[in-house]
Amino acid sequence: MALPRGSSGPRVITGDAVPQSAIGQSLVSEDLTKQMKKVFYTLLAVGLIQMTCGAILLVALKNNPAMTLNLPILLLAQFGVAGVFIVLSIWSRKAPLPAAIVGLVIYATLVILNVVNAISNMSAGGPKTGIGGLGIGWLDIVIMAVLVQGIQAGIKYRKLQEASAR
Amino acid sequence: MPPETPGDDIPVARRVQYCGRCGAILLEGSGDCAACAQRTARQSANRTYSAEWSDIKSAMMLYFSLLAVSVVTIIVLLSSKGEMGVTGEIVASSAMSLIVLVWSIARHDRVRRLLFSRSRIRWYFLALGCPIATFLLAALCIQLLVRLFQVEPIAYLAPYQREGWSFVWPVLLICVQPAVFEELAFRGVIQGSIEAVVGPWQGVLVSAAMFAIIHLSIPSLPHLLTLGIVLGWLRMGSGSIYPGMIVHFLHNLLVLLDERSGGFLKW
Repeated sequence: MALPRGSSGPRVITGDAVPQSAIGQSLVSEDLTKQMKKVFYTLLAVGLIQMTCGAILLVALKNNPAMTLNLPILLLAQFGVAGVFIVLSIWSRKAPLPAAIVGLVIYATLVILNVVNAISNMSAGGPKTGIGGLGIGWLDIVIMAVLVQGIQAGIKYRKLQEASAR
Repeated sequence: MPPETPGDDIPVARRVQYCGRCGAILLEGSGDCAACAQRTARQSANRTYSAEWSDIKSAMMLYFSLLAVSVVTIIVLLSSKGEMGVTGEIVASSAMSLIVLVWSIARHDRVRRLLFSRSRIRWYFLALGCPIATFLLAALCIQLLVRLFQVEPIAYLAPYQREGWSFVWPVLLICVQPAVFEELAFRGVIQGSIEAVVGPWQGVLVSAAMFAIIHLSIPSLPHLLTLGIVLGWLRMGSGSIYPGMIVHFLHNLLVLLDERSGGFLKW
């Protein structure tokens, strides 16, 4: 007589494995939701920082006659980027995954341009900025890491919802 | 004693069946047990997570590869004090085209269907009409920037005229090359990869945002984003990449003709 096999022994579970019990799914779902909410706070923080920097730029350069010609463009760029990140943070409330993807792309592009600018300034004998004079700071790395985690969490959350709906 | 109900004399072991995988009791006539069916679904979800993460990474790596070419172009421009010449533009365009070609071959699963599908004729009629609206929007945005912020509009034809190149070359480099290779990159590989993860409309928005950002011009962001959304919508609706290529080509051609004629629209 064939005996039913009992539950299998200890299993090696990778970090990508979806939990099999309802309680496990609920716990993982809560954790993933927290990571996705971090995307909202990160994008909002970047937008507010950019806006603050724009305000400081406006005050600092307003009375500088040498910068009068370039000031409108600089302000347009600064406040434009701030506005984009704030719009992305609002979008992330409804759809965190695409907002995190776009946010990461924009932020990484800005960081790369800043690195290029910092290296060209350094080679021209200008001051060093960022880690090792590369124009990238710890905050930049943290922001990008949070956005990457948010993207991964968004994918896993969708997969968890699909698996539990079946 | 006679059996009270039919089947009572049959041993229990013959009536009850067990799942071959986990040993759970099966209902008569069913295949896998519920637990194994759920486990299979979860394993499928795990495999799909890796594939989806791979799709997003692939789209981003293509974007950053193209950005690298733009960044190198900027470095060359800065080091040559703003004078790169047409030869430099040809080299940059060729590098971008090669990257897109390699990526399209690597992700042929995303691109093949778009290249060989037949879409309805109405999408091609729409493609002929859309560039007028996108060109007008771009011209309006540029005029606003010129009047409000005293921005100098970009003179695309200036280096070609200065070096004595015929009009065919800017048409090839500014109209044909972006229409083919930027569409393959953004509406082919990138939109195809992203929409497989986030859905069709959000895929259009994400690829349009990446298309707008790669041009590295914040003042041009509004009309480039709108153009990207129109191109993405055409690709989504028609199931083909060709209507978008037509719109992109005609839009860029109108911009060149506008510059060459000194401006169609008298603001």
